[in-house]
Amino acid sequence: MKTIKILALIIGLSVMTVISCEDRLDLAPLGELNSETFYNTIDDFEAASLAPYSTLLNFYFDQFGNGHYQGIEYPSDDSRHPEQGDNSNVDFIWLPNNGNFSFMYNESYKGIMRANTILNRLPASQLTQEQRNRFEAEAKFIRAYFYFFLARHWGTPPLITELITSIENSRVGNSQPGEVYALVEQDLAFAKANLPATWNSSNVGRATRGAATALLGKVYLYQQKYTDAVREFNEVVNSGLYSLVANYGENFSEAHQNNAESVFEIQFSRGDFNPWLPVDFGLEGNQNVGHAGTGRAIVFRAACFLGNCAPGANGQGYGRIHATIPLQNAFEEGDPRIFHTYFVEGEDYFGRTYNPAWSITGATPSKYLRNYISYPQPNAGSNNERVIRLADVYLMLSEAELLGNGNVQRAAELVNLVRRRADPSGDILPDRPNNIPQNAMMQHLMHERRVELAFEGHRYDDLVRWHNAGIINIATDIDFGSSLANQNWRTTHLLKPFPQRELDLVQNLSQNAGY
Amino acid sequence: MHPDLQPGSPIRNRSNELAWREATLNLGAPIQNINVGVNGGGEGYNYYVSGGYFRQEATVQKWNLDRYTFRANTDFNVNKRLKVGQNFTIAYQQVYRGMNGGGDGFLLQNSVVMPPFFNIFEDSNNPIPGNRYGYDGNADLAGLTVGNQVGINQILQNFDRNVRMLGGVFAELEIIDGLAFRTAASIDLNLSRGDSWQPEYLVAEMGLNRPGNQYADDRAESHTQVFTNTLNYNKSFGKHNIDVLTGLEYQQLRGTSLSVRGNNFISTSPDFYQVVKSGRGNPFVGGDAGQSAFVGYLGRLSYNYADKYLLTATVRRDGTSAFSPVDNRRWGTFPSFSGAWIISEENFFSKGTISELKLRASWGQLGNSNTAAFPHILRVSTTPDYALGGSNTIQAPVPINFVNQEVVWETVETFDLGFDASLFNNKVDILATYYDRTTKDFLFLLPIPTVTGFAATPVNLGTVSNKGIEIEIGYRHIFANGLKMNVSGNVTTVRNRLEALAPGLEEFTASEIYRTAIGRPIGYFYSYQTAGVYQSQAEIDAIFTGGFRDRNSPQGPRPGDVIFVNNNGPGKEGQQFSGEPDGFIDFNDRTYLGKTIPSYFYGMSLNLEYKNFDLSMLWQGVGDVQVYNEVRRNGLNLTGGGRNMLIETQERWTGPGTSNSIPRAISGDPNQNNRFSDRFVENAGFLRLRNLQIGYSLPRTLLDRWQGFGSGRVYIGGSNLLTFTQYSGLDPEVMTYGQNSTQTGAGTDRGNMPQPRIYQLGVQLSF
Repeated sequence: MKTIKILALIIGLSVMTVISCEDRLDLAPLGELNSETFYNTIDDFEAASLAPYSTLLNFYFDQFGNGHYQGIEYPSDDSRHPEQGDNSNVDFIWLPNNGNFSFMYNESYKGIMRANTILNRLPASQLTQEQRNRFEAEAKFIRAYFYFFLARHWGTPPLITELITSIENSRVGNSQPGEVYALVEQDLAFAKANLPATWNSSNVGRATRGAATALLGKVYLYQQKYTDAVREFNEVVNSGLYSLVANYGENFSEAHQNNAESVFEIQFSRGDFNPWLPVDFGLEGNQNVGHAGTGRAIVFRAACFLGNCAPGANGQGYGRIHATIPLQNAFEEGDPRIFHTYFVEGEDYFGRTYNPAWSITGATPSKYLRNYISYPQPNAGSNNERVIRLADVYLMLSEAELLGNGNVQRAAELVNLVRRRADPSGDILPDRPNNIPQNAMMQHLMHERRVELAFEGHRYDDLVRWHNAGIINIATDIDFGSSLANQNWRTTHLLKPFPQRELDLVQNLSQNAGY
Repeated sequence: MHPDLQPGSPIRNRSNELAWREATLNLGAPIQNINVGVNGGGEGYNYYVSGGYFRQEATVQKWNLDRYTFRANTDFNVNKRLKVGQNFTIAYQQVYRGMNGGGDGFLLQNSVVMPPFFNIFEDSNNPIPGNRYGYDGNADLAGLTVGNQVGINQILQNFDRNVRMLGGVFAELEIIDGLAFRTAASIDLNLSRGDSWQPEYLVAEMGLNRPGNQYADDRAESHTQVFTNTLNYNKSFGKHNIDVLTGLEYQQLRGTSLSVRGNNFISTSPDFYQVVKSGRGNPFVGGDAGQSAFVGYLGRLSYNYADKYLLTATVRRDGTSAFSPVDNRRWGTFPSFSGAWIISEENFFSKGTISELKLRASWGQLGNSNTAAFPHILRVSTTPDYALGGSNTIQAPVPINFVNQEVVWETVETFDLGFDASLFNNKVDILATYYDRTTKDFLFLLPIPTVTGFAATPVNLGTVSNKGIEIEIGYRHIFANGLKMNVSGNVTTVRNRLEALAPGLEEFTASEIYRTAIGRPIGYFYSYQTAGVYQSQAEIDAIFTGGFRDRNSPQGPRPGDVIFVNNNGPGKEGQQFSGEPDGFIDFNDRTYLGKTIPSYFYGMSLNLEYKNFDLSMLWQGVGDVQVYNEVRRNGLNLTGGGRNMLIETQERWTGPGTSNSIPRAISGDPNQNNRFSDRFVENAGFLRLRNLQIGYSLPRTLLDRWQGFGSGRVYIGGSNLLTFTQYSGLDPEVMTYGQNSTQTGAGTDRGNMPQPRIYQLGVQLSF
């Protein structure tokens, strides 16, 4: 009898198992959110809306030095690499398998995907229309930021405005010329209309109406839509929200982040104590929160040249960026901005005397490096990257007024605002006259942009814009500070090559001419 | 050139290559393996208990493993019809190591590329004084800095511990004669803990900088529960034998991990830093979790008539939690059938030369769901962060996977047909099989355009076939003098190819190495063909005329550069390629360079026994396979300073006629000589003496003197004693980091530790 009871029990349990087994397959990933448990409430979107912004951190600095310094800072006449041989980025040996360019391309689309995800999830959420508009505006601002970058550098990048969920839809070919710019204008117009002018203190760093307006003006400027550009820039300038800070150097000081001059900046912080990992590191396993610091401290600091080594070389300074001789020569004598742009012989350099022999050009950048009190760890800088600041807006407005309206007087006025801030006395940097020919004023303006904004990632874009507008000819007018770079430059290099990986995966994606 | 490297410099001619190698490798790494087991039984019970100890050092420095294993299995007959049993295994393993994982070649590769004029330690008599480690390879020497991984390996302390417990119970009840019900439940529990100490070091000391020390404590727990029930009916009616089985299996896996790290400890005493919160910096907490479940139903019917005709039909229905519930994608049904005819049992068969003959055939399907789980769910990770308002960090949850709802079970369909025969009084055995294995809905991690925001996603790629024959021949003989010989050989051929792509997918090139295309093996090597080295400018000018150029070499080649072959161009009207040279050397010229799956495998074994002596050997080989030798590509890359190179580079091109295989040394590599090409794809077929063993069985007379021994044998042996190969790397049996199922990284030699040559000495005793 006992046996039979045991048997009945065993069979009973087994039958129950059979019945309930199938339900037991209804599992979700453990320890993670998913589209059912997230993207519902206002709290969800307060957090999720930061996802597109977080892409900016890696886009600017990643652990291998992709992104900003090699992809954006290198190809210009302001900076060069430390080696005596050639460098593919600096010397325009641009190939479709260039890792830096591919990195920027991939990170841009990652940011766009994150923005598209927000846009995709908003309609099904519990949010009010007003709340939706705000998150939609933030997502569209970042989407426009990346698409503007892609359009500038690749011309006809694939245009994706939805979250892609099928492989067939993932093979997107080139966009039509102008199509991406049209989307960028629409997105920024929406952002401008729906973003607040300012945020409360715990939300400082989110995109503002001013940021969207300034970026929209810049988008018009690149398309030579000068009247539109003037209108947008004027809106920023006249908003009363922004002013030039008295001390130029505060723009690069951690103690003065998000200051009155700042229109949009990337909010860096030191996340995890492992300073080497990018912010996305360990995403799949959720194992490790990467840091979110800027690499400027380590990348821009001097290292060694021919056996002469700066303090902290390699460990705390990689010496990857050097100020070209043409940039050094571009500054007017005694320009106070030199101090915040590059180190010169005899200056204090983290407790030692700066020695030009550490550098292949005799000068390494000081921008963003001065006012640093300590480096707890390399790569762990938390100084924000200033993406748009008022001085830049003034100079862009000046350019639009000059090229669109021939308004030399207004152009000079704006340039002089920037010069007077750098040198309040006006003795070293005297005002530019406002009664000179437009062409002469343009020369002054181009000079001013170069010295005011050196090492801030604008220079090569400026050269390309001016080349495209017929104001300069890069091939003949520019000294890159590297004979190989001058020898290799072709109009091909007005755009970058599409990554070979993408061409291999997408047959209807066409390479830019000349690559 | 740096003063240290000028002729006459005392540093220039320092030669430490061997010192680096010796400090990296652990030549003569011992392995110890002791097992003691007792089995027995009596009226209605059986038992087996065993204990084992295994100890191993890796062939790289500082990796020592100890493992203890204990087992106890018992079963009892409660009564005539009910039997219950239990099995239990507990294993404890610990690994004490530096930075290396044991098998990876990270340290070896680092020491190989070390500039030979670097010293390992500044003061070799006192390499690790407390927390400071002298290192001469710092930045003041030739302006070079290379991380001293050998030194870092010495000072990192990693201690991994793992306890695995596997326990289960089962009951078997014979309900009526021939009808048996079996139920079994088991749990496999894994508990692990690893701690890791990384001291502080500076560039001047180690060539790398780690400001602040760190102690990490990682713990993980995972368990797999399995519950199996089967009902089995087995009965014979005259010459008819039937066996019917139905079953159900449920499996659940769940695991979590927690890692904590402290840093900036005031004391570097190991007794102090074991508590994470004692660190002065902010502790870090990380963790992970995962779960999955499987359900399987099984039905099997076997029939045999007089042991002459054998038939089996099976059907499995498998479910997984990994896929979408929509359209039954979680479920797969997999039937199979097999039959055999033992002709030699037939009356009409006269046993002459052929003593036994069996014909067999089968067709069947099996399922596989092994890929990244939950591809159908938009998963969101909180890992990245962003700092608003000057805060430290705020979570910025991001989507982490490309959502693919469509993923279903992969089906492996196999057809085979063959015979087993014994000839000459069973002296010769022959097995021959033709097989055709077709994988449908092949699960593959497909690279996707990054415009999606992601790099890859699991898909059902298409249909992949593997076809071939297997032949095995054995011969045994006992010679008149008592020598027993057993020799056998086997050959298996494989033809792997992608037959079809799923709708919506296209042929693709992944990374710079592999391509997947219909009619070709999965993930074949794909890049440029080369034709030697340009010897003169005239030779270059003859080719580079009329606008002809190499798009990867904007300045064009110079004498001493590699000749890349132009053999293809872009196609028209939907065709990817024209198939004809087009006046440009560019990405269209990449072509088939080799494959990672051998065309044939073969083996031979020999066993000899004579009196108390025995000898056995096993040879194994593969043929028609290629390996991408990435180590060689790096070692021939004479385009920048700071690393040691392969000795072959001394034979490089230095003027007309000097070399037609190794290009000139040139900074920056303007012609991209070092791009992936056929120069780095090598034939990697090999024949290897896998095992050799010579034994001596203790004579009966000796054993009888020591009472209690049933038998005794001593042996010596070795593994991987001989290898014949054309491959130039360390080991043609390349182990790569990539996943085999996706062929990413397959057949790429990144310099992992080669398989060790093992010498064995052993004693077997039974009582």
